Amino acid sequence: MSELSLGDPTPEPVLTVQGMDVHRGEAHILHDVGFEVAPNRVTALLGRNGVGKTTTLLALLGLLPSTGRVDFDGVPLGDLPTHQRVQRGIAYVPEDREVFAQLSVEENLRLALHWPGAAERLPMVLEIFPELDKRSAQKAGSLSGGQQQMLALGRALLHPAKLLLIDEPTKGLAPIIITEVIAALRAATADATVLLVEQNLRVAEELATDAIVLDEGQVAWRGSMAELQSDDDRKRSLLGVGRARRDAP
Amino acid sequence: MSLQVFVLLSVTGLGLAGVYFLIASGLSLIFGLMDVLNLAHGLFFTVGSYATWWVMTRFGFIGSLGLRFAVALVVAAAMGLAVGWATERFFVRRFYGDHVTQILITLGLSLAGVALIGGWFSYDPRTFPVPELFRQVVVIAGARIPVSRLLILLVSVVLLIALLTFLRRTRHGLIIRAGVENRDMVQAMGIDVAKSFTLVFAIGGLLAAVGGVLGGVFFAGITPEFGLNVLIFAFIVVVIGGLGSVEGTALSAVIVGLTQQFVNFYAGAGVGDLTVVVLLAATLLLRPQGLLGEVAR
Repeated sequence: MSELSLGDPTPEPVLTVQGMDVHRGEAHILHDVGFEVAPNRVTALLGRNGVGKTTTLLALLGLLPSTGRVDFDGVPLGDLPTHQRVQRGIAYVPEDREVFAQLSVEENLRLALHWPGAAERLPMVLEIFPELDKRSAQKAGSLSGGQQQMLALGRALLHPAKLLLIDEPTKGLAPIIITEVIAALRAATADATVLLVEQNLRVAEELATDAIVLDEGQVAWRGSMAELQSDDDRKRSLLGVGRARRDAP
Repeated sequence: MSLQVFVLLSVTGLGLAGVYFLIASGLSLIFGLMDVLNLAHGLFFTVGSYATWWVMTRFGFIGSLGLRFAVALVVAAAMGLAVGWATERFFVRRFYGDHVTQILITLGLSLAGVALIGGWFSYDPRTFPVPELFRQVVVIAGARIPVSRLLILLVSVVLLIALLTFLRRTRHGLIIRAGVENRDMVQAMGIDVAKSFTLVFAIGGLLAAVGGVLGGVFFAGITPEFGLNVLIFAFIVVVIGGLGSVEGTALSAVIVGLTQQFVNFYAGAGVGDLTVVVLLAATLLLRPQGLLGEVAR
């Protein structure tokens, strides 16, 4: 496993994970996973399908049981239940959006208005995602995939979080919508600390400054996104993408 | 079919639907939000009916039967609320996610409740005096309708509106509706959904206990197994309506109540009960999520 060599010196990581193991049923999904997330940077958690990226986020939130140690903002999370972890400053945008389909857009956002200062942040969220304002009375389940993604992001942005966990924000979206979501994400996550799970490497390259690559439930590589971007061999071996070798058959 | 018979059967069926709705709505919310199959829910119903019997027969110092019934309704509702709260707090809470233990615990509570009530009040059927107004009849389209049927219907509709208002207009209601859809996501928004669990059990207990009061009036008699007997139909109502859907439960209660009344009248006693079981089977085959329920996540 390579040593952590993120771009800028970051003495106090927002999140430190050490020796995390997760089982789902009989399957041993994560093996001794360890990494850090630096403040005010977007860290991409990458890897092929099924290597444990989403599982890592669910374990960090306490939605899956895990062993090992997770320090958030310098304090161990221990066995805290999910809602208390989130109350400490972790916001979450889940894979597949998971908006409350039977509730209106306004009700989905209202659920997140319990956070201090959320009412003041709401105009900012509606400015980034004007579609949410236009469709406030519409049931969230009837929104398009892109609109649901914006609702899920908007809901998370009402939280005065120190860390934003975003799971595959462009999954299942049309290319034109992906461009829109990337622009919205860039605006929404400026200066925020983000751990971004993304299957689409192009999206990760556009948004992230740092990268962690998982392979077979373990951290296979950590470093800067620029370093990963320039290393086709590494991208090919760890992610199965990148330009083919000239001597390849 | 004469118009008089149609009106009488319709009002009686709707009254029965009101009783079913009151016990089934809490059951539906509890299952929808917490995945708990609460077999003790019939106990809340029985507690309500026996609290009414107790007040109506022991509170003779309240001369007016109407006032005494109003007191009985409040006492029954309070006892249902308390028993619902205690069931979640002391028995169900520690077994969330453990369905087998939940079923055993709530079934045990239900049977123990029947034994306790039977031991205390005896297993003999009981009747309680009702206000004179309940025995009067009104003539609608030539049909002589007991006022009690209309009052049962009225109370059920008022409680349906109150429940929907609570769910749609309050923050607790919003959390419960969101939790019925996706409990994990509610927690991932920093909301302690467990507080809503207790609230839903307490509300479910209250509604079922009021259902027990009205059921005692509707059936003109109560026994310790009263709630257990009605619970079977409440489960049918919940499944047909869709788990977690209050509107679906109300619609389903009306369908089941009317079907039972009409089929029992025209095809013979007991055939209506069989027919609603057939309706249940048809729903499970054709629309497993129920009339207004969501497809399982």
